[in-house]
Amino acid sequence: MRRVLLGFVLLMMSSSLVWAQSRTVTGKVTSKEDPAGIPGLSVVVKGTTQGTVTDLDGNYSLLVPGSDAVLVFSFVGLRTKEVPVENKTVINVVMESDVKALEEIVITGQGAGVEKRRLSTTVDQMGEDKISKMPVVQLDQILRANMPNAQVRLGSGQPGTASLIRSRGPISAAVGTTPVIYVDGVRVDNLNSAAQLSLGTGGAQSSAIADIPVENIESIEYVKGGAATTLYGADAANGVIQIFTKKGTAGAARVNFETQIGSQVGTEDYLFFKETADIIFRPGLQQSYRLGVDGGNDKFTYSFSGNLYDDEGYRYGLGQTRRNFRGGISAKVNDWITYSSTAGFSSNEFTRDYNANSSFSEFGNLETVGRWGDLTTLNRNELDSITQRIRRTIELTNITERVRRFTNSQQFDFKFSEKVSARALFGIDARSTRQQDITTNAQLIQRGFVPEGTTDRGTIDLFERNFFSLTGQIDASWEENVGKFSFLTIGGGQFFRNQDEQIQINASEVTEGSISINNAGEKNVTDFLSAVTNYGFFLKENIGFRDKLFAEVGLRVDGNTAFGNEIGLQFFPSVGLAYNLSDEDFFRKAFPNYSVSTIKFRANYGVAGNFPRPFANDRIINSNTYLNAPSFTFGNPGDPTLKPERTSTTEVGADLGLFSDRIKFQVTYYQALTEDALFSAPFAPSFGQGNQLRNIGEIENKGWEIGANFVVLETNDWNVNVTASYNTVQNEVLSSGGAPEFNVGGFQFLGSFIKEGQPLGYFRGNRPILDENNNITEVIPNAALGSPIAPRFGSMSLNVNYKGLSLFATGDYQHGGQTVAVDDVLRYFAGASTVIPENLVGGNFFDLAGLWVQSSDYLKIRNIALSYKIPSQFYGKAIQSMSIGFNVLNPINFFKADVDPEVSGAGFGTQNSFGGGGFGFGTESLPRTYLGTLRISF
Amino acid sequence: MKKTALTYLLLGGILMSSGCDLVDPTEVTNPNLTEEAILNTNNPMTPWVAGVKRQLALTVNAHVTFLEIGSDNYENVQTFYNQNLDNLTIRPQDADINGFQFQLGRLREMADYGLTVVKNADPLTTADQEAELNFYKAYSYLLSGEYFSFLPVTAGGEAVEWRSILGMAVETFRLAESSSNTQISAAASLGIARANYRLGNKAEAVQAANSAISKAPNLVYYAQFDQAQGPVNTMQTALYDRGNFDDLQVLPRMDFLDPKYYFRGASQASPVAIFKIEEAHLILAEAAISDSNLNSAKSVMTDIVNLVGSRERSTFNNNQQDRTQLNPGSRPNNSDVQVRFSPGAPLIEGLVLDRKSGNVTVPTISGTSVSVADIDALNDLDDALETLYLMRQEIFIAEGRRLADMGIKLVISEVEYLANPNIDAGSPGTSPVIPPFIDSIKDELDAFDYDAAAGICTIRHNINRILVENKTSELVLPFH
Repeated sequence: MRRVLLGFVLLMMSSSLVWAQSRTVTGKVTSKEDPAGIPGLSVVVKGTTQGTVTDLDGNYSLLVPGSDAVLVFSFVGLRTKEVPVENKTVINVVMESDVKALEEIVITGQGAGVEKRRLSTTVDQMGEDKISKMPVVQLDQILRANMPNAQVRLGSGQPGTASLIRSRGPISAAVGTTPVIYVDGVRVDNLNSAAQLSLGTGGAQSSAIADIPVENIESIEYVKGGAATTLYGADAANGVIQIFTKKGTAGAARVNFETQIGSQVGTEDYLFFKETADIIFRPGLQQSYRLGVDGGNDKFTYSFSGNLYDDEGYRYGLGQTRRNFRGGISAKVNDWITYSSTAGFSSNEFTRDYNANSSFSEFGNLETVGRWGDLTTLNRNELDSITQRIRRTIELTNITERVRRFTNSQQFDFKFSEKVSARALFGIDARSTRQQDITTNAQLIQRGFVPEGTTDRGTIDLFERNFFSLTGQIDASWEENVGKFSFLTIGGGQFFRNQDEQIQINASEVTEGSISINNAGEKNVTDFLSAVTNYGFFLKENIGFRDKLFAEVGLRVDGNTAFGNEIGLQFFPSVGLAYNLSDEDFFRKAFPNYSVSTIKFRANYGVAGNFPRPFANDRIINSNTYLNAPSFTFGNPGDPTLKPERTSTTEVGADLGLFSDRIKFQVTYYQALTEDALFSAPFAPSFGQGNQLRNIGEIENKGWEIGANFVVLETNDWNVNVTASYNTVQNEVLSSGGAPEFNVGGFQFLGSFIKEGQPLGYFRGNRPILDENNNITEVIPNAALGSPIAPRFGSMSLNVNYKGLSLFATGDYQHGGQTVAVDDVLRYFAGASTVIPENLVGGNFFDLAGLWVQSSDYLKIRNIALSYKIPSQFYGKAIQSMSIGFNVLNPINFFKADVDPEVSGAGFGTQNSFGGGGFGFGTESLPRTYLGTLRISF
Repeated sequence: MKKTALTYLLLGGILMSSGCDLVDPTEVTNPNLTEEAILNTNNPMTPWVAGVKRQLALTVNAHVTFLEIGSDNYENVQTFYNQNLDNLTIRPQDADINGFQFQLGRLREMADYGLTVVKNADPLTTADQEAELNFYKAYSYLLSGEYFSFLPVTAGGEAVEWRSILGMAVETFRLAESSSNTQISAAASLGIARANYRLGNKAEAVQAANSAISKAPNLVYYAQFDQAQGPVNTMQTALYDRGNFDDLQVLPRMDFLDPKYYFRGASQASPVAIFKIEEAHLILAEAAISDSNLNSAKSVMTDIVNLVGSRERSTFNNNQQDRTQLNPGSRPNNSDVQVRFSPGAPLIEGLVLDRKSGNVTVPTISGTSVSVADIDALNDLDDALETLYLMRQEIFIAEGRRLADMGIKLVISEVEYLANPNIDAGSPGTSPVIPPFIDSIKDELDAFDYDAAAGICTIRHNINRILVENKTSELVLPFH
């Protein structure tokens, strides 16, 4: 086996290693900080592709072509060193820190990276080291519990479904809370709810976040909103997620292979009946294979990674296959131009079952008693019979979805001088998705929905969406020092064009057995088209004084082709101030590094926006086919004064480091006010007009973001690190411009609404007032029953390293919000409610609504990862490193409600609408997944 | 070096600027048709009238189901449809009441828009198209006056009292009577008869009823649904299409009339009759009873039974309908069951169907349990009136008519008074009207006692008898 491996490795390296009349140079690379040796450092023969990286002890061995060769030693955070080989065979090198490079660089805004110390805003980052500890399947799963100030709640355990991503609370009633997403500078589809058209299969809604190619990610930045997002343009008020993928590092080809095998097991924590698990759950195999290669020389680097993934789901009726590939290159065209390009492709196919708000949801039917009765009272034979019927029904259910997605980024970096650089970038995101639901007569008969012998009720529902986004950007940066002042100027222009084409076909009276809509008696077709370009120009000036005090001023000017001159250009300004007090000499004298190591104060103000849905200002007449002829009706009523809503955020904060930064705090207070908020509030019904988006609202979000990092233990062998965060969000609709409240999700008897004085999406329903005997003394109609937005949330992680052994655990929590136990409403109908007092059974359930609103508090451990780096003596020199790992996902859940407070079977909104979630309804939670990982690097 | 760079940049700039047209990303694609574009098409009136007719179907969908739930006809035993109305809890916050008002307003506004803006834009507009639009507008007034004590009948206008609204319905129906389409002309006359019936204008009602009969002796005017393209018939969904999700359960004494709507195939929906000639005869019979002319009334009632007997019936499989699966054995579900209309009343056979053994045959326009022999046996005016009201109930079941016969009026919705500066929370029409003799039993309108073993079902209250007992109330039986 070892020979085979060796052969493979030799083959892979043959293209990049030269075996000519050369000789071997060996040596050890150390630094003042790492006298024992620096592992993973790149050693390259200058001007060639020959190279290697140092081993765990900092040793290297490299064939060099001759004595005139020059070795280039490089590593992040260290100053690159060039050493002529001459006639030496041993070259030991002591590297020096590159203080400037050590400064964390973030890309915030547009253009060149900026040192964090210069910024008045905060950006959360997630590096490769952390990403590698997560089983990489989809982006929201990676972000969950890993971004201290953001909350990610996955709405369902079914594959490819939507999530709620938010940081500072919802700033708009017209869009969801999902940030805009860039991959290598290119805008990608971030639709995280049902599309404008889509198939109704209950509650599970497909999400474009689920298939953003996540292969080969180098780092992720999360910009939370406010001034930091100003430069991203008119729709970035919800924040920005930037994903940067690998383009390779210089050195000989490195081949990485990873295999992950494990099992998904349905979580029973939230089940009403244990028997539900016996009937519907079964463990499913999850397997993933990943091959990556990267390398290059000082002029050209490359990186490629491919992944095949498959899981059978945790229950009957689910399954998913993913194929992801991503490659990136970077080439020095000449001394002043660098070209880089990345391209990623993903293909996902999955099957789902009905869930939530569908009488076809077998999971919901079991858990809500009505369909199958109280499972605990049934004997073995009865349960077996139900089991067979349900599994047969699921077998006959045929809901499939296929997504293919290609993202590409092309970037030219121009370095005119040490001070002046520029960048030209363009790229695309092309995503096509196809959902299909084939309902046969046999399935309907099996469900008891139509009489035996029925032949004319078969349907095929088909939905296709093609999304294409083109991004183009040109920007330039200029750095200048004048005396005690330093100037960083960034300016540029950007456009992105989104083309969204959707078509839905509902075919009925389909001939049994057909998978084609050609064999249908009737077809109903609907389409949707949106093609719009946003464009903008930005200019930002960052002025430093004595490299300690920084002032920022920025401006973004935006336009949108859907509105043209009617809205015109929009101006979004920002200002900020950052002061690195701990860099002052007087401070350092008073507080040595081992006491108070860092103090930085930040304050900023910025405006971000959100354009209305394209053409929402037009007065429209809709046309419908009715009785085989066209028919007209009132469409959008129109509002010629419509304009973008604007969110102004003021934030102040401080970064504090104690004991040589062994303890770090980041504290921020923010207040965000959305003015001219776009509300789709109703007119009086006597107008007979549909809702019109109007700039009539005002929404406020304010709160604290507190993050902490503790280095508990740090020795040669041990490293123990703990992080924790605590965030508050106080969300309130300050004004609805006098308009009546309006629904944004949920149900008629208990819905999610938008109303003055309440949080966005607050729960509205009748609240019964009970006396001590649980008799209703009064019913308050349409009372405020709670909010789906938990006002307090946060995350925590533990990272323990002992030599090659590493333990990593993450978790998150929320507190103070509410959820609706919809499952129990249906149990109430079957006389099996555990929420409603017995004496109220049989009454009008509309009046009991308030009793089903429960606390959505939870604390969940999301990921426990254990890994071990196997010492090299076990596998010899052919293999550079080998590690094994074990992950458990979603192992521990603490919660209060009668449902999983994270999932939501309703209330996710659709495209161009707000959704707060919070309706626990016949929806499976995320499964518990056990995974074993083997990683090998050659 | 710098010079070369500059040259490249310059060249690149020139190339880019000249090629801009090829890569122009700012092309505007607006998939919508603006009002201006529509009005400039050739003959927009034809699709506009079709659109108002479609709106009529939406208006029917917006009221039939929840008003049937409110009456003694149907009980809602599941979550999907309105729960408040089942116990006659009528609140301005009710989403269905708001939806009903919205569709009424939209029907009226669309008809008005057709009669003004579209007509002005389309020289090809015909007199029949105008008459048809007036018919839809009048129907909006008719329902507004029948179901609300006060309601605005202009966009954002003041609330108008129901009698005035019915007066407007009469005036507007008159504009539709001139249509050369007999269906519309006769239905308009019947609309005038109904409005006058509610107003207690006996002579006018009788005259219009006779006019309708003379124009179209077999009139059935349907709200048409489009099974393939929508809207589908909500009541069909509730009664049949939702299969074993048994939302609506019929009062056992009318089991044989359920479901009036059923699945007719992928391209055909069950329509809902909003005007049928039976109503004209029912008005004539009631007028005769109020004139103490029993023989004349009996003669008309016999005509009605014969007319109903001639109406279409459909046979189909309905074995997925349970009564009810959530609580098996709680409702009569076989033809052996006998039903009493109230405690102490005689047992009547043949009112409950077997649904689990073969097909059922159900009247899809009108049906009644009353026979010619039953009418022959009548010798008391109040008995005749009760029988007449039973026929009315049975003939109109699942058409959303019963609640008005019970004297109940809904409220102005909260959204209306919040968004309409002319109305506030305390304005007239913001409280429901429920006759006291109905209010006292509102939780028991659908109630019955069922002895499954003995096969005997006893309805708790005979609402028709209660209505007759209170015939002098101004809220019910308008001719008395």
